[in-house]
Amino acid sequence: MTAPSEDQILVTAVLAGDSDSFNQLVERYQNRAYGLCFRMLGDSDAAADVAQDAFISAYRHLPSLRGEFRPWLMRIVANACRDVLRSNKRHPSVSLDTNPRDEDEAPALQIADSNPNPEEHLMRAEMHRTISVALLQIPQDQRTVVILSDIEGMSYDEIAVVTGANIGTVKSRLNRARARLREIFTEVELFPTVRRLIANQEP
Amino acid sequence: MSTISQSDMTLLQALADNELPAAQANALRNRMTSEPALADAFSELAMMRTVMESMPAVRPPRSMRLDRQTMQQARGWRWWLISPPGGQFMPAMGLVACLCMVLLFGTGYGQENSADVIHLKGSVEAPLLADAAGTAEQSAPASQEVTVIAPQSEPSLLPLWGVTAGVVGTLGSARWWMRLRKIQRRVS
Repeated sequence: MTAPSEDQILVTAVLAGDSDSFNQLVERYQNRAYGLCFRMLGDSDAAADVAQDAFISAYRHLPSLRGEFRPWLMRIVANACRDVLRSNKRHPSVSLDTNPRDEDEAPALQIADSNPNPEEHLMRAEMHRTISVALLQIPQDQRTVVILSDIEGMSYDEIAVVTGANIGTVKSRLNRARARLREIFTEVELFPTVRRLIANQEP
Repeated sequence: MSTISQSDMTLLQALADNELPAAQANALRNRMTSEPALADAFSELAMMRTVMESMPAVRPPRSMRLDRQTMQQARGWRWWLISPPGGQFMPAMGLVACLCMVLLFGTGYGQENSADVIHLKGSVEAPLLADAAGTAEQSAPASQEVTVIAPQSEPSLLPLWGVTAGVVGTLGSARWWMRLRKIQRRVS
């Protein structure tokens, strides 16, 4: 029998009546949950609300948890984002274009960059902004998969659990998402910037 | 890029994602040395990954912790099942309830009142039974006790439901309790 993970211990503690343990789980995963929401929705406030609702939903349904906590939670988060996107499609109220006023406040631009070179800092900021906008231009199912794979670093198996799709579908969506992103990146000439940044990093 | 087949593209993607078995990965790397198009596509994919991985982690603008009130409100019926008030006594209480149901309904106690035989005294005035007792009325004096056999009624499902609910309640609560104990044993 494998040793229980820290998540399992915390889940058990919550189910046994220790509510504080759930907040430990929240602290472990709030960045990931919010990150997925933010990149899916492109709006900081909406992302925070959706992530919060997802945690409440996770707490409500915790007794029905089977398997690992992380993919289960991320599935709830992804479904919550999908519901919001569908609702926005029916009643469009949030623009998918990045609001220039929000750009200064958006957490995506708070770059953890130790390099003091201001030019490089600007280049990185511009690159991240371009990627964020490009992500919002691809279909929702492909966006989910590429965020989970390339930004959250999840395996195909985990992504399959989160999205409720089989591995073949995950691979196919990832393939299409990357192809579309490659087109956009080529269009906006992002690759030369990336090459320059990589070259700057090399000693 | 256009010369690369879809299956090769999928393989390259799996290689870039470290999802390809070692043998297949080695075979693909060998192919890349002789097929420049494959190597170019792979380097482009690797760059795509680098670009995406370079995205900074985002932090929520506020803490997502739940307060006690929110937790109380969020508790659904499953929560009530898994941690009911006095949960440790649930299997015992369910068993007692089941036994009570069996004793009350399974043994026939309390069915006398709903028997099909009705004893009436001077009941010839009862309009509903007038037809049924028509014959008796003619042959017996009004002051005498009249026995009317009521038409056969459908058997009540209440005892069955009672026993079923008792059994399901007992088994359900015992299951949750055993599951919790199992998890607790595993953790400790």
